[in-house]
Amino acid sequence: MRVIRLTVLFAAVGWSLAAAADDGPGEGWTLQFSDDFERPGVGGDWQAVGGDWQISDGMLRADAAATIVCIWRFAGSVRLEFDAVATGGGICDLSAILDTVPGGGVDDGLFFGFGSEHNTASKLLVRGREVRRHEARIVPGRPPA
Amino acid sequence: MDGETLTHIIDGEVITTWQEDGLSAAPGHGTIGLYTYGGGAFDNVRVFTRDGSAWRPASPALALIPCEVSVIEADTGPGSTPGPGRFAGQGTHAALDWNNRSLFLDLGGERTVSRIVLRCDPAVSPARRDETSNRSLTAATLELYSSTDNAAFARETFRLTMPDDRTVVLDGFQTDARYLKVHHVTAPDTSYAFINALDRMVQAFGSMAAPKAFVLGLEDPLFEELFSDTPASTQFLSYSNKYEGRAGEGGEQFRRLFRASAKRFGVRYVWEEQLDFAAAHGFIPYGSMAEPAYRERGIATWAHPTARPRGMPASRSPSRRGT
Repeated sequence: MRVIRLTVLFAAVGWSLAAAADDGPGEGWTLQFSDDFERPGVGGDWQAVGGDWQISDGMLRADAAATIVCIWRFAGSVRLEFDAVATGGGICDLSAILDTVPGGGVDDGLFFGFGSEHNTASKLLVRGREVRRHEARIVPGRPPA
Repeated sequence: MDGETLTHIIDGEVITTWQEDGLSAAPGHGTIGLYTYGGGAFDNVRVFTRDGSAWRPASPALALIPCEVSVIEADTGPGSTPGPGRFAGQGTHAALDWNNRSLFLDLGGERTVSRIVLRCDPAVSPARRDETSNRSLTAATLELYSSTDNAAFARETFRLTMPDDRTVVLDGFQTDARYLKVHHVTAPDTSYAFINALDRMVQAFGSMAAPKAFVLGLEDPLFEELFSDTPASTQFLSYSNKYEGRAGEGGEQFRRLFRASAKRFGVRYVWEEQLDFAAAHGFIPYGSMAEPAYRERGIATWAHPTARPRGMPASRSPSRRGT
């Protein structure tokens, strides 16, 4: 099985356009929610929209075609960070959605697609409308950042 | 909000940005989600806000309701056709968008349901791994029904959304029901594409509240049939009929005869009561003495069916005259 590890950071609204590198949330950002999944069950903070989600080895996992949302609400500028590992046979999408709705999915919020379209591209979708496409891809075998 | 810019950062490197007016949260929005298509594991999720806040809604999240799923073929009368259908069991694959099928969900008890999630498995049929696997599932082709008695199904109105190209969400409704049907109105030229294992194809979500108390309605005819002198089923049900209950065979007839009792106490009760009766009165039924129910009661059996006069039933209740 091909396994890669990477770190993906997302920031929405108010992030510096000029920044070429990111050293973390920086001043002014407040940590509002965190989850290291060190427990046996998915728990009440998450709601599976599609797919079979479960926790094993301290990670939140889904085999294929799966979406899960956090039931917490976040107002103002929002920055989402997470680590992700591709675990399936066909690498595709280690992606995130901001400003979505409970029960929502890719087209309901701000979609940050990483390794989308069978890892041929990454893209930004604004409520289902593609606004940016770039070459970033999931690299098999890449060690954790 | 401090501007309206999206920034995508991977491994500390800003890879793209986007600015657009009107990105601020719409009413009802404001949560985050994770998505994988090829399979993935996520860890160390952290959410920061700036000039904002976070809260956990007071209302409990909808919970996944365990259910047994089956398929009813050619369900042209979804308002009245009872379930379950075929293919019940885990890991059985089927297409929803075919032959006017209905997914039949038995929640095991009455629940408050407010969301149904349908999803297909692109790995099942590689030839259909396109971007339109949910194309035939629309507000015009999907119908949702609910029932408390598996006899009369009420049609529900719902909102249909497609979070991604593999998933269809039905919400905007709330019903108290034990049985649900997701019915597909199939056009004659439909080429099915929405395929998955049944237990993965559909999920029902609702409140965490416990199932409502089951109220047993005592029906006078049943009471009379069981505990009065009113003549009712008088034929003896052989144990072998337990294994011959398929349609068109003798077991089906016996099931009908003892349906009233079985409805109240369960078929197993009816059989056991009669086996006890056979043991008490020394009946010699057809079958093998190795059958557990015979062996436990010490019932002698006959290996071959006993010839009986033409026109007479296999056996008759000893409480009935002439037996």
